[in-house]
Amino acid sequence: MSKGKILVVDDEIYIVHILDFSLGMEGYEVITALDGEQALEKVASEKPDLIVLDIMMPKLDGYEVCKSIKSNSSTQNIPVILLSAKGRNVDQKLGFDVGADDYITKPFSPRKLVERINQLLGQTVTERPTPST
Amino acid sequence: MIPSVELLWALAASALLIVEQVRHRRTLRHELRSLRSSYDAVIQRNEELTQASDKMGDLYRHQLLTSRKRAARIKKVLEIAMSMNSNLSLDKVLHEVVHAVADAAGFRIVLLRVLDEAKGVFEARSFAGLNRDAIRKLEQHTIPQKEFESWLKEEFRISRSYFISHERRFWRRNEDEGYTPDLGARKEGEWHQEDVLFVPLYTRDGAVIGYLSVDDPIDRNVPSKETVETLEILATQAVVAIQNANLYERLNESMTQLEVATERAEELNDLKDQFLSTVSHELRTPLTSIKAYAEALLEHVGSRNVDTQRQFLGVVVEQSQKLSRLIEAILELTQLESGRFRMSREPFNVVALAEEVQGLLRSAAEAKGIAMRVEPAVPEVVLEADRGLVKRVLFNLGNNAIKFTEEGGTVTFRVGLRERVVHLEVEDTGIGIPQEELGKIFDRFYQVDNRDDRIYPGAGLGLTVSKSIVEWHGGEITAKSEPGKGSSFTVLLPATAMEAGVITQATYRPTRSVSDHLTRLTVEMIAEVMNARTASFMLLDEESSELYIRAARGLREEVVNGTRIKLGDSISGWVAKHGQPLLVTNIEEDPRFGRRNGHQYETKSLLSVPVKVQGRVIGVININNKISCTPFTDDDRALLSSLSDRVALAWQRVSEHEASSDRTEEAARAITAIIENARRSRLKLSTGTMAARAVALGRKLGLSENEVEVLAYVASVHDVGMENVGREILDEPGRLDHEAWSRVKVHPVRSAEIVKPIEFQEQVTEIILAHHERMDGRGYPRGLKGEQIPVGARIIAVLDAYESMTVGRPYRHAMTHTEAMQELRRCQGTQFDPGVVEAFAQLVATEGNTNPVRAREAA
Repeated sequence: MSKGKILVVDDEIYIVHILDFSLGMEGYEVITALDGEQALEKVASEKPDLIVLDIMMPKLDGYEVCKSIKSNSSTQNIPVILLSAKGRNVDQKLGFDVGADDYITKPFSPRKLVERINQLLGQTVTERPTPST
Repeated sequence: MIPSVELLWALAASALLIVEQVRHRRTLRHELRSLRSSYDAVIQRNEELTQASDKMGDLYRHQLLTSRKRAARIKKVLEIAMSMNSNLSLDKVLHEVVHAVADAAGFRIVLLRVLDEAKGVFEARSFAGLNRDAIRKLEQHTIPQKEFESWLKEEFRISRSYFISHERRFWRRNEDEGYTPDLGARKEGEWHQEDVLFVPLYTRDGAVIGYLSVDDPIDRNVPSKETVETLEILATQAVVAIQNANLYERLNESMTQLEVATERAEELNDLKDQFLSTVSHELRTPLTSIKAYAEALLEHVGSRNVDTQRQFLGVVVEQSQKLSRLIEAILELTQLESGRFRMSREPFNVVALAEEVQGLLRSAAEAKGIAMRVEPAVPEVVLEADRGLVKRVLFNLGNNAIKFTEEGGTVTFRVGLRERVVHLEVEDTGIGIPQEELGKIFDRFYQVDNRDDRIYPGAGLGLTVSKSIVEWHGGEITAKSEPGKGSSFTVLLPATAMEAGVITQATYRPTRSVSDHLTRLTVEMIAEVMNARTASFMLLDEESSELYIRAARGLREEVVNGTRIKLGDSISGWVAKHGQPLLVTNIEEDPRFGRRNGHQYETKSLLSVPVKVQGRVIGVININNKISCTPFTDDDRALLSSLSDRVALAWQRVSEHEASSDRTEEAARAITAIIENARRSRLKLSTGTMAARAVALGRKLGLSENEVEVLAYVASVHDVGMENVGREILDEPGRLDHEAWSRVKVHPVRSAEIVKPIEFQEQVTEIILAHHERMDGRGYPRGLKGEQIPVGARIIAVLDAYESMTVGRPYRHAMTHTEAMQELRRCQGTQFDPGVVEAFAQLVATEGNTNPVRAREAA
């Protein structure tokens, strides 16, 4: 059984691969997108439980994608982790302004990212108004 | 009756008395008279004294009044000088000073000149007592600093000023109309019309920054020491004012500079931010992969999946390489830009280098399914440059081409050599670059996709690094592109460091009608044909009536960009104004320009000709520093004038057809051929003598000045078509076969075709075409006979034959002068015009051992 479905969005194919590997090892189901537009399509069609989102990407950047997800009522509860080489405070602030749940600066530790994801998904599960199970 | 004795006595007594009385009276009268005269004298003296006293009183009062007036005036000047501030312009203050001099020191005519440090001349700035015409004249006439300083002889000095009496005046005055030099008899110490008093304006450290020149004193007296001292006090005020104004100006300038600098700093800061952010992003990307994969490997080190581990390690290695390349590029750029770079030039084959680079890029191209090829024009192109750096340029251009080309595309490297310039071209069939972006692509970190997408990652440093490298070699890099079809980058590098003779193009160009390429070629042609180390091409900026240097060879960049010459000023200004050429054999001795030789000129000789389009001067061509270090001659003048006419024509044609690059291409081809021809003929023994002999022969045979100029030009270009015949034919031993011979035979036609785009005189074409015709009609290409052959062509034929006979070919020994002359004589009437041969014989006879062929023979 998968622990959850995670969408990994990055234009750098190596990053996508390594996250696929690390999260896969952790028991997550990983779906991927290589640019912003593709990301939004996958969000709509796959309804992931969490999104790991790069910022500097072709077509639509991470901020735009995040804003779009957070302004759509059907997707606004999906946690978004921005993963970016943009390490300045203003970049982070902008990230939180568009509704990101976390901001991790590249280069990152896959282990720590996995921990954050576990944490966020654990939290969101408890915070979600749970219907009877 | 006898008189009584008494009566007699009485009578006698009376008589005596009378005599006594008379005598007494006489004495009295005398005394009275002398008393009278004494009295008169006293009265007179008294009157005199009274008069003198009155006079003294008047004088005293006058002096007092004058002194008061002067004091007031001086006070005013002092006040003004003290209050000199931002609101008060220098001209206002100088005006006050000059009028104070006029009023307070009592001179009707006052002129104040201020030193223009940049030009080294004193310019008339302020005047009193002069009419508008006189002012205009003075304003137009500047006094060179050195000239003025030479006037300040110790013998003329009064206090710190110089009074040069008309008797000791050592220069001649330009006599104006209605000018009366002598006013007749004068009293001792009276001012003479031609006396001059200069009051230099000294700064505190003794430098002269201007001077007062005063004339026509109200008291008509030669100035006293006191007057001079008054003037000097006023002069001091002028100095203060000028220095204040200069300071203020400089302050203003600094303020503007500061503003610009601040703006620039802000810009730079933005750029730096952007740079840092881009660099950090570019560095982080490979680092991110390295860290993530390395950590994943570490975590799963026990995993048995060796393939995954190998794959991960592969990513780490690859990304590490990417990272180090990036760091290298940044370091390289920093080094290049800081100028701490050491370049080592060595000759190498660029074709082989291009193939090597192709090999380095092969895997990247194959991975994207891109075909790559090297197309050399010839198997070997030797370039004298830093091989490593040129390799870097080719690599960067190739790498970019691959990066921006889609699958199935092609990347082509072309290598060629033209006009001693190595052409390297890297062409792709990629996405292309929008026209408006072309100008920015060489900027640091610039990427066309910066604005939105980052499909094509890279530091954006490749082109910047490449440009720096190319410029370090004295070359240039340009880009052409058609979006959707592909881009092509062209690098032009001088084949050898020596040949380069760096040509500098001005950054200032009010009109853009003529391309950099053509300008460069024009300057190069002039320098090469004229054998001049320094050549500059100036254009007239119609708006400001100033000449600026459009491009130059052998001048420093700051000279090229900083020179502005007013119409009429200096040598080029004179040439532009009068539309006449000017030949100066020794500038230091030329009375027109005494001691104005710029430090950038090694030789004292220079030649300047106007460039005229339809009778209007559009610019000036200047040459200095003949390679032979001899002065320019009238032959050179004739040749340069013809060249200038061709340049003007090319300019006119190109600017009339701005859109058409064909015109530029045509003109460029013609000029290039002339440059190559000039370089080829430089290798021959009789360097530069062909044009000079053509001029001399033309004159000897009674040709017009215009025909002589044409001849000088033709002598320099008549064989431009020879290169197309092929070196191998000319250098080949043995007799020419039929095929080769027919190729040789067309070279006059080729030559005429090549120069046609810059030709307007049919004469020129005719002479070029006919210079291999023979008197007996057996010549080529048209078989003209005798008088049908233009006289110019008959002259060139003799000169050409003599030259080729005495130079020799690999298959034929060079003839001696005597042998060559015998051959010319033998062939006169059949091949050559006997009249021309005779004139040539006479001419060569006068050359003596200055003729290298004869010198060699003599040795």
